[in-house]
Amino acid sequence: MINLFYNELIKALYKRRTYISFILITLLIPVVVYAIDYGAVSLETKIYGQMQDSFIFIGSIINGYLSAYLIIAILITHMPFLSTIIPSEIISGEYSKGTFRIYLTRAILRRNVFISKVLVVFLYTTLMMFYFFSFSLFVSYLILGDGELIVFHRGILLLSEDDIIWRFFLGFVFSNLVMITVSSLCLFFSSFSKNSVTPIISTISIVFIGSAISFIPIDIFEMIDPYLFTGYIDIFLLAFHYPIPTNIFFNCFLVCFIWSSLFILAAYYNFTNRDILE
Amino acid sequence: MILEFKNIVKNYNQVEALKDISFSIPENSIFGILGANGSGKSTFMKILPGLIYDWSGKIFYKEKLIQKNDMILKQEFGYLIEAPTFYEYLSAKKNLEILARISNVNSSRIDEVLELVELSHRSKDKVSAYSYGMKQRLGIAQALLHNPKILILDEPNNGLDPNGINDMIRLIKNLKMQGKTICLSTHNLKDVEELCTDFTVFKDGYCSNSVSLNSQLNKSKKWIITVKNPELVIDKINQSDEFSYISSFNNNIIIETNSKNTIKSLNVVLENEEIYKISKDSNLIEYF
Repeated sequence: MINLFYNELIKALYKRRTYISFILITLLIPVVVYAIDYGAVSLETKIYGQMQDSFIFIGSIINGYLSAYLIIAILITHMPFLSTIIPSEIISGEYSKGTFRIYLTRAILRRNVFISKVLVVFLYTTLMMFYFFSFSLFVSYLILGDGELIVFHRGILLLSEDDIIWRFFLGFVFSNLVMITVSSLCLFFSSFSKNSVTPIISTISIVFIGSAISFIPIDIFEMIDPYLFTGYIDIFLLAFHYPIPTNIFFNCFLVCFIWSSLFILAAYYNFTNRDILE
Repeated sequence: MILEFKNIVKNYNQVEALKDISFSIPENSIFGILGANGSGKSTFMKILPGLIYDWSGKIFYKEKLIQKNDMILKQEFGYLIEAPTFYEYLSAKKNLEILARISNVNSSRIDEVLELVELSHRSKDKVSAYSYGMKQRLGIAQALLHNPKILILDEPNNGLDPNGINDMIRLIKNLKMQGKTICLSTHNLKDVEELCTDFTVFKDGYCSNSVSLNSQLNKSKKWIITVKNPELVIDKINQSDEFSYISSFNNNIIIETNSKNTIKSLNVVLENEEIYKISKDSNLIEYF
């Protein structure tokens, strides 16, 4: 099993596409942080808005934490696309290139091959999300320094420096859970597909439809939204509420766990029973 | 017999790819499965390593019934199914390392098989830079990696140039001399003639009895050939000095010859004719 996992790691590490998401994050985040730094005055004015009539602000609210918070809040909705890069190809790629014809003729169980692939997908998604969060924080901190974090929840919520990092970590854990569900969905499509484009398009379409359901304020959509994993893509923001809405986090865990399990089980059944004809 | 197949059947939805395949393979033979494209050769070969999951029938290995997808069919068998496919972004050595890791083979064996297929000097090159012939040889190397007793090769000469074919023939004969049993599929009668000690013919999901080229064929004078266009073939046989036409039944024609190399001579006389099956007089009763 360890050897199979190691093999899957080697296969992923030697592919250029594995690094696309990391390169994008590395290039994009410093640019955004510099843009926030450059437009700090304008940004502050927009954030303060009419509050300037009621409050006197001393110093700047623009710091590394706010920058990281804004970057993650904005970019998190785009992370499902990046999280499909590896799972889209991990099974379908081997079908289409015919490498299963050699790999699966060895004395190994398909079940173990599947498990090793799932582990690599989970590892990739987690590493990518961790890099996204940590790099956002690191670069923002490096350029804009630290300070208190101002967020909007039932008015203004000012979070002290020692009350911030754990919230980022909480946000990371649950955002990662949602992205793992997205990856599982993509893996499910990958187990059926003969190319790596179809799983990406299918997954993103479902995420798009799910997100639309979350945003459209119609009764029936609001009723089903808590049961869709797509409704939790921006759960990161809830980590900065006071008090933490634990029931929503619990629901998120449950919904993501159930959907991930369903996707993985369906993919497993298909992978272990499918004839390798390509 | 080292390997025996009984009543192998495989359906793809409504299509019967293998209707009733039964034959056996002698130990240390080069066994040919001859058949036109679409005759079910590749489907049959994918059954053994479990690439095709849903099929029925029985497989006996060393006279012991083997369960479907039994690991012994992977542990003691080496496969090259259809065109050789590798992780093209990795080197040949890296590809073999991946396979060695899951076959419990140490790294020195990788160098041995690369040496055997004469690819040592290119082992660090990416497979994407390899010619088709080199990939085919690398395919043989991966099949030999865990030192299997039986090699299953699906059209090993396919796509190779004349030099590549000669290299492949030399390699396969060399493997036989090392005591291995080789089962290869081909649509080329010439491959069977040059390489095989025994063969069977696949057609429309059925197969003929196994025929030994070494013993049985060369002693007999009467042959039966199954062809697509019997009338045209009978004309050609009648015009030939080497063969005499005896009788025919449906697409089957019985001929007589004194030729020492019947298959080669038939290949020349019946050039451009589609031949489905060749058998000897000893099989005639069963045949009809």
